Amino acid sequence: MTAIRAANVTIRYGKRTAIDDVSLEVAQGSVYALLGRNGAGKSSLVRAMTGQLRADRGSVAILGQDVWRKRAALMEKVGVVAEEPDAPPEMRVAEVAAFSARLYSRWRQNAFDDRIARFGIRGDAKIGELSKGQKKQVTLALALATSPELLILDDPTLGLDVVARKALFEEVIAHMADFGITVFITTHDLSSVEAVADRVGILRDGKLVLDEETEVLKSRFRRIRFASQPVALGTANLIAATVRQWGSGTEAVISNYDDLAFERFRDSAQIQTADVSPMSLEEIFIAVAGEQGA
Amino acid sequence: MSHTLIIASRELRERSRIFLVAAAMAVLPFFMIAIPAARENRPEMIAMLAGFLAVALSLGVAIALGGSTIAGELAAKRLSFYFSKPVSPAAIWFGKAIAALLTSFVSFAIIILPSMLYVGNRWSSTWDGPQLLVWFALAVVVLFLVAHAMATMVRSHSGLIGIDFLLAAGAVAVILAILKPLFFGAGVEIAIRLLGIIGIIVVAILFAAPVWQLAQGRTDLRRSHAALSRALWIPLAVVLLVAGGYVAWLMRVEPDDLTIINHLQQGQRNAVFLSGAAAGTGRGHYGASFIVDTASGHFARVYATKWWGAQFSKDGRVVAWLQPTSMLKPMQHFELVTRRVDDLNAPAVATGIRLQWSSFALSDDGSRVAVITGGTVAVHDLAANRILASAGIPSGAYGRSMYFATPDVVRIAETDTSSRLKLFELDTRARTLTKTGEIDAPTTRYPGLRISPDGTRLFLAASGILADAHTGATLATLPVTTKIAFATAVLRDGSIAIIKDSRVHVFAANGTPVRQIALPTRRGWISGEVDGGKLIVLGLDASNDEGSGSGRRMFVIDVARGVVERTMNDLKGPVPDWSDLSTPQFRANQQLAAVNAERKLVLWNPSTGAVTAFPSPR
Repeated sequence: MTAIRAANVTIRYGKRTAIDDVSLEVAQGSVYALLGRNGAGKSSLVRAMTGQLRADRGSVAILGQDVWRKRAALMEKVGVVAEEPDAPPEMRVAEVAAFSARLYSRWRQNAFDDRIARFGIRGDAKIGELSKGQKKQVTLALALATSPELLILDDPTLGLDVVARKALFEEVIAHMADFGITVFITTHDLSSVEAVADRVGILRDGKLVLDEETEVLKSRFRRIRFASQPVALGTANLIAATVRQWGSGTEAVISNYDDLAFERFRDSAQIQTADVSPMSLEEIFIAVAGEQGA
Repeated sequence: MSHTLIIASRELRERSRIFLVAAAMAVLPFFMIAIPAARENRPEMIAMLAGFLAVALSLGVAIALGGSTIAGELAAKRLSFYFSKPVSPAAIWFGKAIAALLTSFVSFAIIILPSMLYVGNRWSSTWDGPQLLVWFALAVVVLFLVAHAMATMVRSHSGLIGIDFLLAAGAVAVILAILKPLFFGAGVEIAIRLLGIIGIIVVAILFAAPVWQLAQGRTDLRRSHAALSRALWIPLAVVLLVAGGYVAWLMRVEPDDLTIINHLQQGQRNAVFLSGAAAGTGRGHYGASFIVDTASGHFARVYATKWWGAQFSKDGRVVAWLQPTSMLKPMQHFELVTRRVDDLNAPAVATGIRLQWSSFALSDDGSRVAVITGGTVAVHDLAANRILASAGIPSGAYGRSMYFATPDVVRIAETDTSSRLKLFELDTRARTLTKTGEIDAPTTRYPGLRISPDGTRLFLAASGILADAHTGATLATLPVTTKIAFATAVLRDGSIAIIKDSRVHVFAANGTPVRQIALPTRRGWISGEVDGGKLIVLGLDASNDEGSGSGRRMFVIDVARGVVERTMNDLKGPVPDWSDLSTPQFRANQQLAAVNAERKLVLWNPSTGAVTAFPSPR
């Protein structure tokens, strides 16, 4: 079953198109990481997915239901951590929890209390007095205490220190995935998300330029460094995502790398020195999304 | 507990500091004790100050919360706190609105309650009870809702705000345009009721529109603004369309629709001034007025106050009436409007002459009008639109009546609390106002003044004095008197007719009794005189139906022969008007307008007694 299905979603703010005809699916129980530079449209897409923003075109279904029409009912099953902490600054942490407890039928107070205690946040602290990272942690604790079937996290590591980030990915997200809870996350912390994401999407200027299983994605991207100027890679049907000068040689990022095809190309082009190395998700992201306007 | 109440209680808790402020303000009036000047009326001062503080804080809170409770959170991007939870837009809005309004009301109560308890009964002498509270509560609600709408619009920084203000100005203009004909057409009660209904619906729209705003705009301020604008202006347009349609339907009332006739005056020609209401047809008491041509049935709608009738010029070619000019005081400020009645296509002409009551007189040919405003009498040339002459008149008069003695001379009869009736003449050629005479009359405050058709003599019905209209010299004193001017007439041949005690008393021009004619009604009004010395009398038999001709009778009396020539049952009309100083003159065989028992306009011929249906203009 599909946890999230976005179909041809277009979102405009006046004349500016924030999301341009984006379609994606997130399988239930999987972890989907949506990546993109600032302003790529990630938060707009998240707001559409949480029923807070209506797509100008297309639709978003959550757990099989149109999220715009059924938002209130769906939010019972969806935990949301917004990009900007939105709890009223005058409220105390315990009050926010008590308020949420009255709205959710599957609220788990113990889970909230435990997590807040682990984060080292006092229940009588006012939201407005917390650091940005602590606010995120409170919001995350709230989202998790609702026993969600789907967790939508919009840049949850923003403001978190290194330890907290690690804990988020290793304890929370991995834990959720283990329990079959679907996680949709937007983040700039690519090294951390790489380990937990089943599938990755990359937004560039509102368009979904990449949407693929993480392992498949990593297997087809390679960095190749040539000691000399290369011949045309196209003759070997290899697609170069980027090609740039590297010392006296050339560096190319190949987006459809295949061992056999490359060996054939190297033989035919009589290339003596070529260093082929796998790429991290961060490197792939930079190659795909980072070239324009860098 | 519903989500609305959960949100309301959360919001209320957040506003608890306001209650502390209110509590502090509640104590403030008691410090008045320390001010020596306030000691004398201490309870009143405490009540007064507590009331003002309570109202000021509550209204201020209403405006502040209206401006911040949704719009502020949208601008701060914090409304997602609610939208990420399983709560509906309606619960969010109503929860927040209830909390904001309760905050305002509770703050009010916190401030005034201690003072009320301390002051006791004197509170009600300072602040007028429940009605004031209702208005205050309404003001709080309206200010909160308006502040919310305006804050949403302003904070969105959207170009839509220009359209919003244009639409708001347009809505006000449309409301005024809708109400204007009602105020000006003697439909003040309906206008006020309609304004009240529109106001209630607008408040309801303002209260409901934010639900649509949140449902469609959710956490996006600009989309929220757009949704709010749609939710405000579209229903308001529908409401105004319906209200406009209702008023248009009201105004489409035709003479034949009238079920209550207030004025049914007829001139020498075929024109009738008709004013009344179509009560019982869903039109309430909307007062409609018409100039109707009795020959063709064609009519023109006019805006005339229902308090006064119209004046026909003696030649019957021109009619004049008062049209309200102020929507705020439609029964106090008027403009004199005239219309030719011998040309069915002639437009009504606003003269620009402003009056506060029916103090005007048309010249015999309708080309001039004399008006009294304040302490000045003036004669206007209507065609040239200029003042021919004006003069200050002595103050202290109780009442003044005037008429054109000649085309150039206006005669004014002035009554006061003394026993003298003073006569003045304004000569438009010499431009002088001259006192020409006085009449000793014991009952001059209500003299029952009637003027002879040629204007040379006047008759004071209340004292029976027949006098020269120029000098005031008494010509005769009649033994029969009445306080009702309509019950008397100075006829064209100079004789005088007085209806009293079921008789028409007829006197010669020199005051000599001529005859008495038995009248089969105890009281009657003389509606007019027909060529040939016949009187048209409206019998005032008891009737339970004032608006129709049911139970009414019209009599045609041959004065010379001393007989009631004809009795027309269940007819009423024409009806004399207070503005007629001399008895209306009708031509022989002139068809007279009346209303019958079925409340329908009919024509009747006093010579033959034939009653015919009023002609249809179609």
